[in-house]
Amino acid sequence: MVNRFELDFDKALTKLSGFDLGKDMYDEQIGKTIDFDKNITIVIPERVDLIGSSFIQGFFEEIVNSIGISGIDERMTVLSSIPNIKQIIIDNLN
Amino acid sequence: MTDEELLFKRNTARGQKRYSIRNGGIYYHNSEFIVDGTKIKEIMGFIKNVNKKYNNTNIPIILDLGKVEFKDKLTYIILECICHCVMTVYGKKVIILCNVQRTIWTEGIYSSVLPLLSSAKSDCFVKFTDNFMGEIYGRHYRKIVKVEDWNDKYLNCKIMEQVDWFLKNLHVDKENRDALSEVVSELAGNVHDHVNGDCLIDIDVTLEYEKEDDIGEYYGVNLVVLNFSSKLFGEGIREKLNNGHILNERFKIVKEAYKNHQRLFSGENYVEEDFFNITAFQHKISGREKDFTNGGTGLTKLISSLQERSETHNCYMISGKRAIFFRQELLHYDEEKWIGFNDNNNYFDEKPSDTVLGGSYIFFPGTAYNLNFVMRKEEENGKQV
Repeated sequence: MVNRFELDFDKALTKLSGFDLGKDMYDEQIGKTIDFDKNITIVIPERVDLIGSSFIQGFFEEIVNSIGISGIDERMTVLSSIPNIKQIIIDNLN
Repeated sequence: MTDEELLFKRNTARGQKRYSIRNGGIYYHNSEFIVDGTKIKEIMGFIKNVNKKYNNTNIPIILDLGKVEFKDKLTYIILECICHCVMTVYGKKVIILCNVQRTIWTEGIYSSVLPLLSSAKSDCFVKFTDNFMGEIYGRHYRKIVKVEDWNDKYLNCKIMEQVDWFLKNLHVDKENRDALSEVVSELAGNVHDHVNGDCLIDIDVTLEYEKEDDIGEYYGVNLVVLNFSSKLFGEGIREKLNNGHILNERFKIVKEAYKNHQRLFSGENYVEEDFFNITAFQHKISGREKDFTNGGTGLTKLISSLQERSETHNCYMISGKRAIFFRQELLHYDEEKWIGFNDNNNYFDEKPSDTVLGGSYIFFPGTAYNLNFVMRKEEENGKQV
């Protein structure tokens, strides 16, 4: 199984915000099939240019609970047009 | 707006009880230059007394403010809410006569709904109540987020998109747009999560100003986010502390800190409400039933970063009778993610700095943020834009 997830949501949106939305998107699109023993790739559509801290916290909550922030740092790849996205994510989870 | 009437219900009616009737209305005359919380309280008292005495008549209320300067954006937004409540809940028209002094903090009043009340024409009152609920025009963004709007799961994102688009049209640079749109979206989301009531968002971007001692140009970004509710900002924390819910390890530390701070409460300088308010900003501490939040860490980081990029700023929050002033130098978390709002950044057993805490002249039923920033206009290709 390829542990790669491309987020799918309203095509008109270029920004992501809200804890509940983050949590829902994780549950609906990732939670059932993610394999925490493998490397993980999250693909955020190129049109997204801003992600709020609340969304990050909602989306990554389960992932942090499972592999910790160090696991995200070491085993997760995040593809996005936002520069330094992974550092932004880690900063918001710390 | 939900619970708007609490403004009148939770503030006592002091002030004049004899009224003059002039120009077909009950007349209030102001002779002071600055309109601040004291004046707002006086106006509320006047209206409340008028409402008691003239309960069964729809005679208009005329507020003759004369030449005035509003203390800040939140002050005139609260006056808007008062007028809206009087017109929609009490069924009386309000006419406001005033000549407002322009400042970078309050320039938004010119594009607000208040000038619509300078005329007794019926269509102006209709326009006031319509535009009060929402308007994006020129340099003014206004939105009331209704409880039912949250049925749209993307609402937070859409608020962010809208605020960004509004600011982009006024040439606010991307870094500031990102922080401002996130602040607005987070604050609106907080209202939904904590009190499940309507939320008022009002933003204005001013024209350019110059400093006497500087050749650069500056503009103001003034932002108010508020909600009305009987549930105050720190109420959820108070409830959790008082009914003994220990939800996580960090909350045990809060309980210990509460014991320490009880020895520090002193008269009106530092009261329990202040402790609950600063606790609501702690990492992974929430007054909500659900216990998964980052507290106010995201928000304080954003406010601090905006303050850092601004020339000057005026940022505070009021809830009930208490205020927290956001001082940039005191908006940092320590290694354990606690914020003390004091010089030693010691949440555990030191009270917040006196410069952070304050009282509010009116009892604000709910939570209101006044976030005002003066930004220097960036230069592009050697020229100012």
